[in-house]
Amino acid sequence: MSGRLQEILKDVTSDILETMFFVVPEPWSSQDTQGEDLRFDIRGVVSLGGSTPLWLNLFVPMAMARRLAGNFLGLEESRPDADSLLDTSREMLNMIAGNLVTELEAESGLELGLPEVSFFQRTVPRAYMGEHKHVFILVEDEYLMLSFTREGS
Amino acid sequence: MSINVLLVDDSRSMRSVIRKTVQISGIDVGEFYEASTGTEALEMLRDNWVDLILSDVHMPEMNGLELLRTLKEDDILKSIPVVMITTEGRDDRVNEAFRVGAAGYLKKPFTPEQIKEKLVEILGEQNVRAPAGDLEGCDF
Repeated sequence: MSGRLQEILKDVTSDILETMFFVVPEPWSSQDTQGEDLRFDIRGVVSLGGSTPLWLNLFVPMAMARRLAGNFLGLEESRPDADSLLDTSREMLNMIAGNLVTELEAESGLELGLPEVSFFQRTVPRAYMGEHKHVFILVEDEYLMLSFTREGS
Repeated sequence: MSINVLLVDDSRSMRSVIRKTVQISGIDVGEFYEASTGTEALEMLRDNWVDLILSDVHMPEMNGLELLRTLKEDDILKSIPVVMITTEGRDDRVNEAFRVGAAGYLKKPFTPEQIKEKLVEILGEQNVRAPAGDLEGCDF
């Protein structure tokens, strides 16, 4: 992923998290790339179209998904149910992808599809954080991960 | 005077957020109706009169632009103002929506102030009472 694309993705995601989910992403350091694997519980994917079909993937850990859904829906005491967790994550991915496509307008040819989300429950090595294939956003000690996949990759 | 509003979005969570945002914006709403696709919205409009439609663009079955086109071809429903609320702010998308007949276009993410501003612009001040508190920094 190019540095510019990474920056745009970080910027649009941070703006959405702050405006709609009331959390403020924090910077993370290279020291954070060491330690236990990162666990994610919800995965979302949306097609961005293009001449070589491109997809944007979102990975969210459960505790963060609960916090974001609670903030988004204004739930004070009650915990969001499974449908709300998936629906909120899907809407977050929809907003990230839509804003990304808007930012990339000039070079585009991109066509936003309908996002899909599901429970996922997998881990990824922390070493991914040191690579440029993924974008990590730190929110209250947990990471959200974004990555692109291309057809055939 | 209260108004009836139809919210069209395939995300139940987003409908809930928009509904709360409209409520805290001070718009005097009588009834809120909700639909998750353009098709469902048209069915709802057969039995219920609304004064304003807030619609997403990206939806399965019938998307927001197709809904807008269908409404504008209908002699009775064409007078209802439709505000598109969507994630894409590309010029070609915005221009297309206005060409088809949208009364306004709002981009997600949005703040309560932006929603209020747009609705006042479309409905006029007489439909907006003072909000309960300062909207600045207010959460949904």
